[in-house]
Amino acid sequence: MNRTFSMGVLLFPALVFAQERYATRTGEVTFHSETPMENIDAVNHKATSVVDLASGQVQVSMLIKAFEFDKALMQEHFNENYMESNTFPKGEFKGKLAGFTAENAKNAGKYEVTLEGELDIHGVKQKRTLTGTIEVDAAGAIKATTDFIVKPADHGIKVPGGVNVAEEINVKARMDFLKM
Amino acid sequence: MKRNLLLIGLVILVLGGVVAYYMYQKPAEKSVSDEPELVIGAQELLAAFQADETKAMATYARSEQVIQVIGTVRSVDRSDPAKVNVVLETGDALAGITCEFEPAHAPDWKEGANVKVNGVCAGVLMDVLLTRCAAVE
Repeated sequence: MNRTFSMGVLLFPALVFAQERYATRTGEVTFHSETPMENIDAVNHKATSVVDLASGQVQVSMLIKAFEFDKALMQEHFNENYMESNTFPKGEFKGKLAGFTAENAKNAGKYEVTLEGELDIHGVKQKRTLTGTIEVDAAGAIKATTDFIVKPADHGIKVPGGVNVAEEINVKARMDFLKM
Repeated sequence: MKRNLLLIGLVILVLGGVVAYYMYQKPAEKSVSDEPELVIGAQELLAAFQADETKAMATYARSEQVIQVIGTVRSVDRSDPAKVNVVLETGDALAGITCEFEPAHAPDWKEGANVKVNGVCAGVLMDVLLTRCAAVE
């Protein structure tokens, strides 16, 4: 199933239920690795996400090569040695949203939500339940945030001994959605 | 003689350490400066990814590969304080070539302008993404 078709499958019902579909192409995802020797931080400004409030379906996708580091060598090692991004170019989460409906989207407020689904990193999928917050402002703009831990080992990512990468990586995501 | 050899060895070690430290600390480039390895039209690049994503990744998105994309500006988005996003026209209303610029390196382009962009291709989601972009004058 190619990229256009798979995103299209999620997007097609937008023609019918457009008012309950929200999307962004500029979601921000950061990750933080902390060790006594060194901290590593990276940011991706191009996460794509689609949410269908009628069904609760959520999809988040990002290109691994779009993560930016401060140091050139770190970025190179991240892509070539750990994430093997030529082979596994994307990280994705597909799941179901609970705790926020189309009705909530009409009212300003803060909502605690859960996302239950599958996290696909480095070609290895793991079932995950994530918690997050959705904020609706007075103008109806929707912002979703979440943070969670990823263990590289759970996704087949091999980090050689002696390398300053933590066993648990802190990931944060922020999506400012637009109505489709 | 032995002492000289030791001294030379030590100097090489220290020099090696300095070089290694410099390489490790070298900041990541926010805007590419290398010459592109190939030049391609925006429409052609999207078509390549739509036809065969794996092959397109191997051709246009290799590690640290700089490519040049030629096209027409569909839109310029300056709403994100972290990035300026220029989307190039591809003929496909749902997909374009998104060129990500650091604000300090972003050109003053308008919609409809014919442009050339150097960058590193990260792959495709809904759009093909070009990162670390530099405008070609």
